[in-house]
Amino acid sequence: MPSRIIENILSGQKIGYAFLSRETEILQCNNLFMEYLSAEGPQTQSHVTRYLPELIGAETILKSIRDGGTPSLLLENINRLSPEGSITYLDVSVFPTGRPEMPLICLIRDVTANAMDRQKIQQQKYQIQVLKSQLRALGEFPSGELLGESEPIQKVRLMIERIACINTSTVLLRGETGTGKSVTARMIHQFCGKNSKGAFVEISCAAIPESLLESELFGYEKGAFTHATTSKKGLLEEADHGIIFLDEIGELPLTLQAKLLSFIETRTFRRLGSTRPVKVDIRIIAATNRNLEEMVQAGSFREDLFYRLNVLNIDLPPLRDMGRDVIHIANHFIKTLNSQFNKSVRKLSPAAEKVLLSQPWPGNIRELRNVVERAMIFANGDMLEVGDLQMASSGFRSSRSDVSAAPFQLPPGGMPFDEIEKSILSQALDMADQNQSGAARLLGMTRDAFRYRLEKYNLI
Amino acid sequence: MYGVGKTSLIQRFVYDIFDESYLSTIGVRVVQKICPPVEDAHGKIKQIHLLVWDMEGQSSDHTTPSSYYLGASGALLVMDVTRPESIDCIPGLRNTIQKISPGISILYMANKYDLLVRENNVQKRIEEVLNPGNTLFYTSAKTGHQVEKAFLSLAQTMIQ
Repeated sequence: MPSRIIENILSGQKIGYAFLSRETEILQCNNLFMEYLSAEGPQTQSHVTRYLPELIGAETILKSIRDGGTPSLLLENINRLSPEGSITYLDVSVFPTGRPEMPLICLIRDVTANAMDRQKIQQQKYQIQVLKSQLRALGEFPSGELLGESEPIQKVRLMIERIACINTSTVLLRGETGTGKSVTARMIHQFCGKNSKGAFVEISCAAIPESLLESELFGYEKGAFTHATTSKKGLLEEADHGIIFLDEIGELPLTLQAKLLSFIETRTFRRLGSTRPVKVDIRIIAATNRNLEEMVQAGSFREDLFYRLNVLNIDLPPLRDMGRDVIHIANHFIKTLNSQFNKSVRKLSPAAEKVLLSQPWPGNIRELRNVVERAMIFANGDMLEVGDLQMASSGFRSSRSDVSAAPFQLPPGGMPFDEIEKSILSQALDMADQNQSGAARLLGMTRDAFRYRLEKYNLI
Repeated sequence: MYGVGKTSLIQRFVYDIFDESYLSTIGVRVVQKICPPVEDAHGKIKQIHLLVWDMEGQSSDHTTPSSYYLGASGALLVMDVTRPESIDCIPGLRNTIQKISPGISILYMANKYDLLVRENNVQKRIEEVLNPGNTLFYTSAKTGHQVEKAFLSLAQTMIQ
């Protein structure tokens, strides 16, 4: 077939073509060829790789095609970006012509329409698959896990695995503020996932006023009280077949302690304003940083409820008992915070490690995270330095013993006691992450005494 | 494998940009980057023009055409530290590439390092699929962590 006819057929089919020399220079091409490659053209005598860098490195195979050793070369869906950002997809193929003066022909076909269709389908499919596999990975490499490798934390992990497998109705978690009681409760839910079809429902008994706590827990019927315009399920019902996590159980008012005890014993309760008993199948995990035995002695916590809750208990170790875990955990926070702060901090400097190891950490892991998070703001190199930590926490203590060892000295000029007291109360709240029980304990006073002072200085 | 961040790594290396949105690559996109001069095995200073092929990721219904690997001098195999299956598919990919381009320099990137939560588990899994002496970089296209280092190390390895 005469070459002119072939060229007309190719142009008619919207196929760009270029005849190439033995050295793969462009000898002859149609306008479409240059148009597809966004080149001013036609540019004959130029090497084809000037317009198709994708052929760089393919010299051996092009030679083999020319000499009849290989039938052809096909590069599918080569992307070309326009200055406006749109993508053109091209199929590029090279064939032998059998003509010594122009032994190769390079063909280009615009396949953008097909590629865009495939892109749309693939985009949706991959996005879903990426998210699914990331979720699976979270199960395999769980993020909501207790951090640390020390012996005390290993024991806690073992306890969690064992407790999760036991079909018991109540678990009591004990530990100072910030030791990971909520994370532990979630881990139990995660581990017993195959036996637990329901949700994980969390409520802090200290965060909700007594008047609302009852309706939140047990729900209410329409008309049960002035603003009850519709009926509402309580959290116990929401957690049916799952777990309810009662954080700060020590703050539960005595009246509700009795109702909770009744529920634990009978597994039934009545919504406010209803006479109909509701039966649910849930597991209760309660947590506290208070000494419940002392509270029982003092009459502020029901003894029978304490024994009902204290069937299986896990004591979470304070950070100061976890040795070098302080360093591992701080480095873990650094890594997770890097993306948030757009930094590339690798780890703590050796001096910063020493400083962290010397701290008493009354706020435990929560306090450590806050310190690291604030220090990351100031971090400038690839290590978190002592200076960053000091900038993050001006009151960074050298050690707790220093405070108790050095008796307080009143300045000769005296000082305004109210201001000092107010400042101490605020600092204690900050250290305990606004947890009043934790802050009270830091100052060696009862929660009631602490609250009294907060009210006195309008700090609530 | 798809979705591990190949395009983002190349965008970070070549243009020093990062886009949070995910756009799956179809086919192949070639970009060029002139690297800082490096010393070859004979002590000669060389300027390397890297031609980087950003390839469509493999999946169960898409295998990268072998023609894409022809003539390659080096390869960076990328896994996603948040997706264990992207680690598991590395040996198969390595075998395919080495069959088509014997003698090719291969380095490994464990990307999305900024999202890594439990390093020990991931490291263990990666160690299982890599051979002794393989070079691995934990990278983050988002923060730029070790991205340039990985590409330049490959360039250095290729001229040795």
